[in-house]
Amino acid sequence: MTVIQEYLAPRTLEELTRLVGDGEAAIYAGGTDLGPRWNKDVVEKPATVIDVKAIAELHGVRVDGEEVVIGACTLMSQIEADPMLRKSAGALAPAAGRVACPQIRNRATIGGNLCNASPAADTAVPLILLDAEVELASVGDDGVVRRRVPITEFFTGPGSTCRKPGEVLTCVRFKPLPDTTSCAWDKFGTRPAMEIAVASVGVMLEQADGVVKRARVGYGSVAPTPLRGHKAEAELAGKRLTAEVIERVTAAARDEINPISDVRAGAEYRRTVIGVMLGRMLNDAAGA
Amino acid sequence: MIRTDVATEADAKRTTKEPSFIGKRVPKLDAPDKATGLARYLDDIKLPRMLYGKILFSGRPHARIVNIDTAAAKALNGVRAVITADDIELVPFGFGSDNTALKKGTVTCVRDEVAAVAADTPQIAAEAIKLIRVTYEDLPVVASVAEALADGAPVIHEKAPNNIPFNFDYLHGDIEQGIAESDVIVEDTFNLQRVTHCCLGTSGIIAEFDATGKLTLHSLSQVPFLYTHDLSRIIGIPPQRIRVIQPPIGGGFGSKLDVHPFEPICVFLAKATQRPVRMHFTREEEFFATPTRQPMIIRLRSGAKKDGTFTFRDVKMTLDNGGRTSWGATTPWISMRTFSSLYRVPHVRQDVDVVYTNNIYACAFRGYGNPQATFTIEAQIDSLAEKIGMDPLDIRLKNAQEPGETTGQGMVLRTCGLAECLDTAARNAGWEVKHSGAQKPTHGIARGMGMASLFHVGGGAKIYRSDGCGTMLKVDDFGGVTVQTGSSEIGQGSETVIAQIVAEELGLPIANIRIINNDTALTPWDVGVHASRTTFIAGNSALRAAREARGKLLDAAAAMLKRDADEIDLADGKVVDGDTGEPLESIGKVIRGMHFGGKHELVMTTDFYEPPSKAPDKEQKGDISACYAFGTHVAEVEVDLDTGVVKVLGFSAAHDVGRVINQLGIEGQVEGGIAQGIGYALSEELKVEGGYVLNPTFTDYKLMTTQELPEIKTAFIETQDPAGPYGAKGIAEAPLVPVAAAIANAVYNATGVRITELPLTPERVLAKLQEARGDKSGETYGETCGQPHG
Ligand SMILES: Cc1cc2nc3c(=O)[nH]c(=O)nc-3n(C[C@H](O)[C@H](O)[C@H](O)COP(=O)(O)OP(=O)(O)OC[C@H]3O[C@@H](n4cnc5c(N)ncnc54)[C@H](O)[C@@H]3O)c2cc1C
Repeated sequence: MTVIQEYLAPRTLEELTRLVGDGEAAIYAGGTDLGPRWNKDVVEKPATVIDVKAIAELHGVRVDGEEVVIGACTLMSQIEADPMLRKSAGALAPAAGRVACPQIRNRATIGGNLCNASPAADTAVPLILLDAEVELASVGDDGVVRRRVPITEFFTGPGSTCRKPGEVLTCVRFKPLPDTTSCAWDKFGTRPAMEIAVASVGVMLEQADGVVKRARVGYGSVAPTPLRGHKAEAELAGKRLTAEVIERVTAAARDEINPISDVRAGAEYRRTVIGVMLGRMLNDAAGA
Repeated sequence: MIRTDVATEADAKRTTKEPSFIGKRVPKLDAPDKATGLARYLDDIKLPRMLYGKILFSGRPHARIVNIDTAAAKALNGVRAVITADDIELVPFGFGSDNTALKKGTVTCVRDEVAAVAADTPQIAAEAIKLIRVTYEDLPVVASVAEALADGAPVIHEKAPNNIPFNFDYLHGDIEQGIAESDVIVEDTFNLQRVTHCCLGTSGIIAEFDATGKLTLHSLSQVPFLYTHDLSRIIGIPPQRIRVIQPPIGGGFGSKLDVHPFEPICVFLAKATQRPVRMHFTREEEFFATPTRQPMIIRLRSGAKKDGTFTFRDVKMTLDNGGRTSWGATTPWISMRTFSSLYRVPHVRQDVDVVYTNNIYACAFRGYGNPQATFTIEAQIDSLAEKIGMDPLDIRLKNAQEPGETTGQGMVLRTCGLAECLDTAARNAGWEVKHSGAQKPTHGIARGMGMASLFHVGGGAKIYRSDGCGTMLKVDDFGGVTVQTGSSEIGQGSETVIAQIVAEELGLPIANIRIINNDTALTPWDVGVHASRTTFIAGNSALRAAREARGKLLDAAAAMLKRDADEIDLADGKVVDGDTGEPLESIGKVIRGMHFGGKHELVMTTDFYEPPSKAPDKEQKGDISACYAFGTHVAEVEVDLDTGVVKVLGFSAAHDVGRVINQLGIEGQVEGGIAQGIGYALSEELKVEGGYVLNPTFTDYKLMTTQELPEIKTAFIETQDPAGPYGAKGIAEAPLVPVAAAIANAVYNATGVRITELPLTPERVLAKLQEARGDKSGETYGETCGQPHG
């Protein structure tokens, strides 16, 4: 019968990884993805739910050496407002601020957003722009074992990641962006608020004397996973942002994505808006 | 101006006085409970021994039921009853008599009810539903109107071999003559989508029997008396043994005008178990298993003379009725009134085919066919204006009716503020500058402005033998008033309006007035909440009951005070001197005086108000309403030419409401209608493909949120209708009606592209813009399918 029989709330990561064990239980953070799915009977409710929110280590933003670390349980509303992230995490804070509505942002965690692995996850593309890594922890013979995975390798398909059943996402890590870079990100929906992205795109640029020295591009909702835009990046590298270059970049973007047609939008339309959004961002960057 | 029949000279004198409550901003009486969570909605009600009901829907658009195996469900612990069509008497119901509570033989849409269970918990009920095994033999699916009308199409119901169960045809004048008189003619085919009500409270009911077999329903019906009558036939229980209590209703918008199959099903479950049973839809069930607005294909031709005078409208409508028929199939009765009477048109013909398909079926929805009709008419008015070279405002003003006119369909416009609405809405929107002014697109963004008007009944609609409403009123000890009204509160604020009217008449604070409006055992008869009638009809009835009580109080007070009844008045809870306002006695004391002394009498009055309207004749002509409502909306939009996004920047609405009773309430009603209308225009569509609903969630059914709403300017034109309470007319449905039309006209003004389909989603708008620009990729957009990943 569809009832949860056990609710566990471990206090330490060690305890958590032990309880997660072989991964039969559901890891529960904000519940904003899990809850609706259980309610709709899309998936059977698990017998055991492990709430990860009582573990202090999984919360908050801190600096660790050269890296910024965001705990898995950090809320969208915290990311949106965090002064350090607003300064040095490119599009991450504004993107977190565009998730759903204030009520959801006060529950939704970044770890849940990533582990849920929707191609539309709003924090994914900004993390691609940061070249971020996620840290996964599991139980080993001598306590907790950790490993790091680059964000681009983390997602393996709609709803799936390379996270193994016994692993928990503990944090996201990245090097802060220098002041010489600029980031832009936008998502497109059929209404501005409460919108799961029909398509999203972001770009990070480092320019010197009007020439692009470094560029990263990422796309959401236009492929089975959030996607890094290698072709678009190649078109940008070493170039000035002239109209022709921008045209070539957006063409490359439209070409390298692989959108589907679903009830939200057609594939062709998704290609168009990716091109339009990216073109507008690059035009802004050229003007700046 | 002369008012209702009970008006006296003293009333006339009082009307010159500044009213205490009429026209004021009065918060809704039910607002504090709703805002603080105290309101007890259906799912807050738990009766002792109550069970939980759940329905098994067919999940197939068209199939023959071969076998239903309920054994496993019955065997599940905690299941108290499992029923199928074999367990109940099958009484056909609905406007087409083509529906039954549970289905036998054939299912004709995915929401057809096949079996139901009652269990100890909602979880057990849900589990039991999954254990019911139904064997189907699939039949060919008729997924669209075109498929239904094709040669050799499968027949969905035997009694309509051509799949056209109803026609609603209408004519006034002579179309050929109209064509001959025209200098310009336009013709378009419009495609209007399926949208649904999205009531925040989902559908539900509790049924309970007492030991003698009397049935009490906690029901969300918006027409409790007609409902009792209809339901009585279906469940085989005489109406006098049925009591309907309505908990606070979380939205109606027409969705609760029918008896829906889940309601008799719940009664059958309560009967089978002899225990109270509650049934409450999930949001997903609400999306696919409750009826929608009619999708329509409308081919319209209309014409005008060179000077702008309208000549004719010739309309052919095809409605996707779905697999069953609700009252909503009759919406062409209302759309024909719009075609015949929105502006002055000498020749009008409406030809309607209501078509069976295997889609989910449609019902009544705010506006009742009027938004669809208005969308087409107002689009063509702009086209006609452009062809003639006239300003859209001027051509509308030229054809706006004047007070005293009778429309081609025989409706008498005793008051008519249409021209004033046009002027006011346009002026408040800055029409002259923004519509015709220079609007060259900048940075891929174009701006434009469009307008549309509306015509709707404003004083009820005589579609049943009576369009009346009853009131029972008592003024009791300490000046407390209880008003029992037949009318229902469904969130529209009618109980507040009634309290204002009674307080105004009796000179009592609103806090003294208690409204009882949710229990058929206590309240007198009423037709129900529909046709924008409650303020007008129930308001008139309350007004008359209150005036009679006022008379009794004044007579008794006059006797006590040894004054003339004409010289005294009621104000602020007191009997006062009519001229000076000096307090003479408290009303409470007068009442106690009546109880304990003198004639030993109570102040109790009753009234049944029947509006002075007429049932339409065989040609559907006649003065169906006691008065008519008008309004004009002007929308300003911005269109992103690269992405197709339409943003509504501003909205101006002017409504002829006769007279404002509750300023706060009426602003809310208009703003709410506009919000709903913007959704209809831009984003809402319940997508059905092959008979299946693709987006039964708020994630993919896009309601507008507060973020998308523009600033809305509202203006009220007070034409003081002689039949209305204090001159008021109905406003309920009206504000939704012209919204999509105004927005589409604004998009045309901005882009020069006429889009004849709704909603104006970015994808659709971009496709049309590209088509117009000659981009080849235009046609690769459009209909999409499949389920999203995210
Ligand atoms: C109304 C609504 C609107 C939404 N709008 C948006 C939107 O605009 N943009 C957007 O991106 N998302 C949106 N979402 C989706 C959701 O809110 C986000 O994905 C959110 O970040 C999920 O976080 P959570 O903490 O609620 O996850 P949960 O629901 O708790 O978990 C999600 C998944 O991740 C797993 N998980 C969670 N934490 C961990 C961990 N530390 N280690 C391993 N596995 C873990 C869970 O087991 C589960 O499979 C919306 C959801 C709703 C209900």
